[in-house]
Amino acid sequence: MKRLCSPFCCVCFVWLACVATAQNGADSLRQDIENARKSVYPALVNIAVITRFYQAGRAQRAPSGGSGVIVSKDGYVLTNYHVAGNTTHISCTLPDGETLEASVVTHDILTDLSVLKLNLEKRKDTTPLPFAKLGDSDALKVGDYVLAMGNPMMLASSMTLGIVSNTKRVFTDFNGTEMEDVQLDGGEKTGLFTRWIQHDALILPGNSGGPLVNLKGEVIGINELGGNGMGFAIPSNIASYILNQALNGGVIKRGWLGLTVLPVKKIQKEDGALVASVWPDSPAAKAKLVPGDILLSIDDTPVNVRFFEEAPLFYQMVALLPVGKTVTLKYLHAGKTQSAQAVIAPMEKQEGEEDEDRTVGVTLQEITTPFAREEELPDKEGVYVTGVRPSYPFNNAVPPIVAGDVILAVGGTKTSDLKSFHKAIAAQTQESFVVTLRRDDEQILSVVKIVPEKADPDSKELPKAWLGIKTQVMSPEVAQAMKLPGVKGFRVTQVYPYTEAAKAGLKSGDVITMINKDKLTAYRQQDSEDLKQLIEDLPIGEKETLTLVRDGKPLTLTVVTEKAPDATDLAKKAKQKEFEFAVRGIMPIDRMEHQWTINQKGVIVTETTMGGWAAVSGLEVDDVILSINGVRVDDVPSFDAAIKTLFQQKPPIVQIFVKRGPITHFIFIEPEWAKISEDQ
Amino acid sequence: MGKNIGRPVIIRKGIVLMKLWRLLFCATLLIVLSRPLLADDAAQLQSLMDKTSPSIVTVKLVMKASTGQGGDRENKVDMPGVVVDKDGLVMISNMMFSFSRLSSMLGRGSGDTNEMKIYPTDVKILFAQDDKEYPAYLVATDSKLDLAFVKIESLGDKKITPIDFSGGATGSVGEQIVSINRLHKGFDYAPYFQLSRISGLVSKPKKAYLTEGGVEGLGLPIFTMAGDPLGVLTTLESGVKDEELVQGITFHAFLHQYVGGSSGVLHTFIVPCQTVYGVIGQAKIKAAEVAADRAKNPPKKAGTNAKPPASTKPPGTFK
Repeated sequence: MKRLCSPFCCVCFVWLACVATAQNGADSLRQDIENARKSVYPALVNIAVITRFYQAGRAQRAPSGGSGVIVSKDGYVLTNYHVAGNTTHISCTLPDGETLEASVVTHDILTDLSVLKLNLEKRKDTTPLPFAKLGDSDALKVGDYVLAMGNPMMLASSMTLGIVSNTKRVFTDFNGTEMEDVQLDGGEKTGLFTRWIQHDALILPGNSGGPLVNLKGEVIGINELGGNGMGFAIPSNIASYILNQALNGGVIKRGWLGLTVLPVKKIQKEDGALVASVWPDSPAAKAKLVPGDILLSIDDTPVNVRFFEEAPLFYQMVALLPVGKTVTLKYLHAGKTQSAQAVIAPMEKQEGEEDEDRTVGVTLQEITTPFAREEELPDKEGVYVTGVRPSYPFNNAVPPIVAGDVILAVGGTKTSDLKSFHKAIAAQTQESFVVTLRRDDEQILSVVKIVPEKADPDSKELPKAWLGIKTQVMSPEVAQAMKLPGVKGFRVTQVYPYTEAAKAGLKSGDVITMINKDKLTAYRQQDSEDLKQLIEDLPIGEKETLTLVRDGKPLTLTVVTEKAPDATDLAKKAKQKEFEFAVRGIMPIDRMEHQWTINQKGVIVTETTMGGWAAVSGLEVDDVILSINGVRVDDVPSFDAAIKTLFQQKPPIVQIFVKRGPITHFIFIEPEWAKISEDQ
Repeated sequence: MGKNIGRPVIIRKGIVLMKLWRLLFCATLLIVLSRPLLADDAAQLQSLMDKTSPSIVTVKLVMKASTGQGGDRENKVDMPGVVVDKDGLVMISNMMFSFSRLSSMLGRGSGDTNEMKIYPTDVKILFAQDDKEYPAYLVATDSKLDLAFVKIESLGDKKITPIDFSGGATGSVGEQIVSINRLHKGFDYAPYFQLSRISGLVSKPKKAYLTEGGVEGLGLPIFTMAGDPLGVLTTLESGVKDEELVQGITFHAFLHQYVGGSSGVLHTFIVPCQTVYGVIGQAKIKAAEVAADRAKNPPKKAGTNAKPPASTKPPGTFK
């Protein structure tokens, strides 16, 4: 017995020890997660923006958002460029619920990073602003636990746990022959300098710009991409560099040699980088490098791109070279080692500024050298047409101007950038002017006419006579049920209030058997439209005699026909050009359909243009506007007056009070008054 | 015993030959006599085309489709029209302006008429193979008859001949009818005719003629072989809702193609001249009202308000 007890006790003891260790381990991980959360969560922000984008020849807006993290006590926030770029408005909501406006300090498309600054002047909380610490992303190892924090699906802050799957992720094509461009929503290319941290902490739309955190509570990445169970974060060391640049003037300066490289492994080499292409007129071209050369060093610093994962490091090295510095390039050309001097040039922006011109209905982009190369344009001259608005002057020009054209001059005035283009258009006083443009290799003259606006959405329906009643056919069954066997015609089912039919005394239940001298012979379903047709053929405003049966007794009534109440025909209308919505006055048919009393005032929204301020702010068709910034709106003239007051005062927030179905609601528009034209 | 040989072989052959000759003679006579009839038809058609094709115009529209909730779309469309008034009133099909009608054509039922607004932002009229485009504007629509009217802003010195719908012939089932239309720009707007027959008569929702085959040219007049206008080809929608029939694109297509019966949706008809004439009269009144309104409230000039500079450079040169 003693012999048996001893091994059993040992086994139990070991088992208990393992359980205890595991439990301790789990408790320890749980504690680490909690500590990490406490370090970073208070600094997490929910970013809400209004993005501006250009489509179909006009500027449009849409609400969007993502996540960010406060990285300094002064309120600097790191997030993705694709969250905060091209925005008209940025607001950050802190974990305590307070929302602060933010302004852009710097954008860097090439790393997809943006640095924002919170407007702390309006902060109500007087305690020090919490901020997170940036860690060393180079110290990360595959298998390390990481936490992805952010606001997935624009919900309140949350975090997920995962491990680092790869610390040097790059994207190549399926065959592994070249690096793949990572493109943002607007088509901008990013990721040239990035080796992403791949992890499996779940991230969803809304997590973009949020921090990837290690168990020490340090931000070691900014989440950028995700899907299929994989997440990709920009390393914090890259984010640190961008942040430092932002704090020191905000302009990201990078050096440029003008060449692209491929790994030398493909040509069975161990050192150097294979020069794949050399841009014309670039420092590398001037140094006489050609594709096929193997770059060995820059100023004695060895260059090694053995694998694609080393390419971003090479581009980082070149980007860090000071602009204007003369460097010595050592390279192999046709097997022989050569040496050349190159002057580092500044790296230009990939894409130029984009803007719209509403007068002629076009969106344009300034041309940068890289863009000119991509689009195979001969030079940077002119402005590039990115979209043309249908039925606007540029679209109606002879020949029509189309996306892809480069505008070289307007009315003889050279247009080298957006400013000169807008100025040239504004200076045209004649009804027509000539635009000089380049299309492929041709230089074309296009005649543009500025003609009166012809769009006329008002209904032109020819008026028809109408009686304000609804009816059903006197089928034999209905006639029998009403104890009127054999009676043919129409039974009144509804009389609209405030109509001539109501004034004449028609009632539900009346059976109309004759109009004037026309006997009604309807008794089948296919006869159901006969009464309506008969009435429509009558003149409007004339007295007509109806012969009825009411409660079994014959009756004659005289009723005046009226114009069919087509709401859009007679209603006064107004269009708000800058906020891009239209309204009309309330008509009798609206009261009938919605059961409104005669006291219902307001204007009905008939149109909200997609991407316009009104649509983005949530104003909907069929809303009834009751007031604007406290100014009552009873009808179209008072709507016009309220709008006029609004444009005089230019408040930061426009409050529109609406009736939406049975409830009322507030719409808030925060317009960019600086961009809004004063031409009302 | 002995064979009954009847007539001698040579005589039998001769009789056969005579019969053949008679047959040949009759056929030739028939052809010869019918040639003037065919020639008459061709001459008639040519004469009708010469007389009416100048009144058949091409209407170039830029149309905006607005859902009212964003997603506005503008498209350019060319369609035929007919001159109905010497001052430049042109009748066209209203189909393109009516989302409800378009939905019905696709067999989806008339749907909510407020769902999408379609209206022209630019209208131009082209006569025959002229290069000049005459600006015009929409003045009236009749959604019941699916017709619309545009008015040319200014004809200048141009003289135009309207089609007269005041008289109008009466048609009968089986009668041959003619429509005149124009091809599109690629074929230089060449006129052409199409023949068809009246295949039925309807009295609901309106008195109208049904045609056989795919006659083209909604909004255009239809003529008798004698060259008199019979009416206008258009669509009519029955407002009668039949809950027993399934509405849907597949079933409607089945009904339309194979049964030919009413499913409570759209069909193409010839609406008689008398009906059309009344609407043209109303359209003229409406056109005058719209013109007066435009004179009081001229369309806002789009574009810039800049004052002319002291000097201007000629186009095509750079500053």
